[in-house]
Amino acid sequence: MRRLASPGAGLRKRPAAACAVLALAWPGGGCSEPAGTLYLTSGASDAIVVLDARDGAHRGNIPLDRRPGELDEPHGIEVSPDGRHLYATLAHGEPSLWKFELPSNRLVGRLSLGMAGAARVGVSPDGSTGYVPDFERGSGGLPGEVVAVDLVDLRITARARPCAGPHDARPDPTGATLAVACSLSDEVVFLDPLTLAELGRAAVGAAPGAPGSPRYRPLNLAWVGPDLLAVTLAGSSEVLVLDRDGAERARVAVGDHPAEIAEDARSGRLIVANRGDGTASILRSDTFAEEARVDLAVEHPHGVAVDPETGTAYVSYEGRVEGAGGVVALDIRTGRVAWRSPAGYYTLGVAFAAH
Amino acid sequence: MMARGGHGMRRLAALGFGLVAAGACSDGSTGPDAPEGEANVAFGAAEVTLGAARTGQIELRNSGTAAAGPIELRAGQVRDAAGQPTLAARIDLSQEEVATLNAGASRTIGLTVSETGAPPPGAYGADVTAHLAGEQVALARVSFSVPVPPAEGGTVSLEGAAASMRQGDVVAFAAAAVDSAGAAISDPLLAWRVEPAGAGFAAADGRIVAYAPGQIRVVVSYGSAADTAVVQVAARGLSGAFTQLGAGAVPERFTSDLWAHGSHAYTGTWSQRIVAGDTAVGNTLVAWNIASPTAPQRTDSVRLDARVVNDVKVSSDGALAVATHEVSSDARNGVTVLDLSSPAHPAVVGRFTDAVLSPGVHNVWIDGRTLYVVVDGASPASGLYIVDISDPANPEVLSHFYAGSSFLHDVLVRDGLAFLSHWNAGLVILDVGNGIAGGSAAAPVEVSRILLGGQTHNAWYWPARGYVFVGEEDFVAPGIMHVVDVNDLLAPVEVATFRVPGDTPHNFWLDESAAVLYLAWYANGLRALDVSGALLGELEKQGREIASLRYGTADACPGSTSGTCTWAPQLHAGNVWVSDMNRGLIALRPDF
Repeated sequence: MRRLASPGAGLRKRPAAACAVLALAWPGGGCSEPAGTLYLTSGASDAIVVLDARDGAHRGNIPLDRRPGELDEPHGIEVSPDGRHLYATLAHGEPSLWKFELPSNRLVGRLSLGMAGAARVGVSPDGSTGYVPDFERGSGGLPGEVVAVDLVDLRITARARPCAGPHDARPDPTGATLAVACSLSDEVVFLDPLTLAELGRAAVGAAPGAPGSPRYRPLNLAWVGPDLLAVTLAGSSEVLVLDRDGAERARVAVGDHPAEIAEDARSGRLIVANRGDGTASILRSDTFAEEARVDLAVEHPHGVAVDPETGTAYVSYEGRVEGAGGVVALDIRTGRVAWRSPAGYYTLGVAFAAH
Repeated sequence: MMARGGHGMRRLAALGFGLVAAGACSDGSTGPDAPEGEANVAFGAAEVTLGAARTGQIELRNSGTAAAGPIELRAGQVRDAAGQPTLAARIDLSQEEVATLNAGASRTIGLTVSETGAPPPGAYGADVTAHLAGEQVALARVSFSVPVPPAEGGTVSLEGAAASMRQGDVVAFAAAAVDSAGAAISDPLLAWRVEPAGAGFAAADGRIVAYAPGQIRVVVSYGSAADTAVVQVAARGLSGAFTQLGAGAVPERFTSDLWAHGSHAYTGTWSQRIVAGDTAVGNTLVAWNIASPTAPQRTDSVRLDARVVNDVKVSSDGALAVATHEVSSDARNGVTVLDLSSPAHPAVVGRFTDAVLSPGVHNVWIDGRTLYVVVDGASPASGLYIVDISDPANPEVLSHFYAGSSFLHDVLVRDGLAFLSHWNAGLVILDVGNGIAGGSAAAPVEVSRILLGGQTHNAWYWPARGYVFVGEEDFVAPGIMHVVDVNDLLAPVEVATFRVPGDTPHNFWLDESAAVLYLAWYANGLRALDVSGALLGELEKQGREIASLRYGTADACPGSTSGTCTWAPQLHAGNVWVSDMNRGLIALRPDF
């Protein structure tokens, strides 16, 4: 494993030479300049911050502000598979799912979810259904909800209470199974994506804590192909890999308190944002070995999005209470930080759109 | 980007609503100027007449080529044929928001008349409107009627009608009806009105309030019979002003709530503020010496792990303060208990972060050594937590209550009753030791609740008069203050409202001995309202506003360093202390 120190902050442009090198050495990597748009949820300013993915330049803010006198914490954010819509959750106040058209960023819908703390949003491979877990931190060990949402008409089609503190609900690439990370009960639950009926469940470690007092704290998920599921365990600072039957296939130590994880299928890598120590782990998705741990030189990395065309990972960071959050562009191949851009406050999620 | 359609609808070009561009897009591909079609939202009918059951439905359509949403639906005040509002009925909609309406799609919205009183016979109507991004895009008129009860002849006569009254005073009129044979009719169904239209408000039981000085006619009718009294209305004759005595600036942060005790005050801070490129967040409790209202002195600041310190309260003995925190870096939200032995320098006793509080705490109330904690969220595990702070270093959760359907925003406790401002669940009254319903702090019991149009934000209970003043924080409509009569705690009823155009109310403080309600009204500053006597109808039309002051400009609220953005008032030692989001702490002298 390489442990990489962060280059100096303020580097905003990827050198052209690096692009040429990347074309020769990077499996599946093209040599296009990073392009596209980044969307970040700014949890403490009730907005989505829009950045140019090439250099982190600020393009604008989209307000998610139902109650200007209150702070409602935008949290999850996801671009639909066809790139035509953007979905974001508002965690508090009236927890809701917001729908925007892309590339215009035009708000076209908002659905009240009737839950305490809407967390991430997972989208089915065909873009028809969204899944939002109720990350109800105060629920103790009681089961929390996951809702399925018809993303065309914005209506709830199913509800279930699979486990305590669900934080991420993510359908597999075939759309046959929905996996739920249960942050307060040390479980992953597999659901039918249509009915949310339980298909199975798996403990994420040998000595799980009681519901409400988790030991491993499974937070977020990334499917690795149709058959393997990578789970970040914030409590034990690991990434766990399960198969579809819930059997453990790998377990690897990563940085402290891993939060989100995303796969770059082209390069065969997984990128993990390690909230506790300000690093990002780069894992091989065949062996799940940690290939590098990169010091991002930011506070509380949280979200991960990937531009598969350029092999760039975008890691959002919350920032300190006193300061701004933002995003770091990370060259997955080299593990080098291309640039950092302050953006938002208590910045949580990040999504990449190719436009 | 907008063009009017027919029947009150507007065509809406789908051009990037909501994108606040920080600069020109570099390649034009992501900007707000890529046309994608037009939404065309309208009701299926411009008018709907409800039948005898007073229920019906209306269709909302999008005949355009682009999706639209969210579409907010509102039912306006019910008004009589003369255009006068009534509190005796309202139109309920089956849903208040359509999440999205795709091109060519439609939704059916249910309409129901709810009688909150006894509207007199006559024709009534209300506007139902649809709004997109704050703009009204569709309008329909919903009408219904209350039939005149059969009356076979006879006459009606006013009894002892007043010849004069004062603007804003509520006067009870009475009348008697006799049949064609001259026999008295027991409990006749009378209809009351004030003429000319708009000159006053008539309750179903004959209580009348006049809105403007001059001459009004009070008309009572029974079937086709009627009687009229001519009444002279004298001006209420109130006047007054606020004089700013001093201010303590908090230029680096947005200020939130306020609590004063003795010669000290404490203010919270809110979200993040950027001044000259420097960002400061709401992680601070500020302590003030307010012995001199002309020169309040900032004595200390306490940093908390939070991005919003929304509320601060001081125990009645001045020994403890409690500050709330939300959006903490470690996600362990809750409250911080502070020792005020040295009131200029609050000392942290402990940060109470029980897991049940972790979603975030927005407001608190201290009653003795019992803490009422408002936990963010709209689920059964959120809402009100009652906490014993007898040992301030080791608080203990006693009980929990959640009213369902919406989140709890604020709580006030008095006389063993907790008044919960429960947003779209309305005002909820709990017995937490009063005895009326057998509740206690360890086992609160709901006494009653009343829906007030949603967004129920704050409340002030006045037990001596049996009123609750309730703030509706609606930034769009905008919000209003509701007066709820709780003389029968089991059956609260709304009796009056108060509006100030242009912004929404925030927190209140009542001077009970003088019957003056102080209302923080964000960009509209501070208002002082005479709430003496009985309250009925639209208070802003009754000459009851004694004074108001927008002490700064009308710039961004919050945002501008010079703008008025009034968060909370507190009458303390003869002056009204105000926390202002933009400015900090301000002392105002009421000159009345």
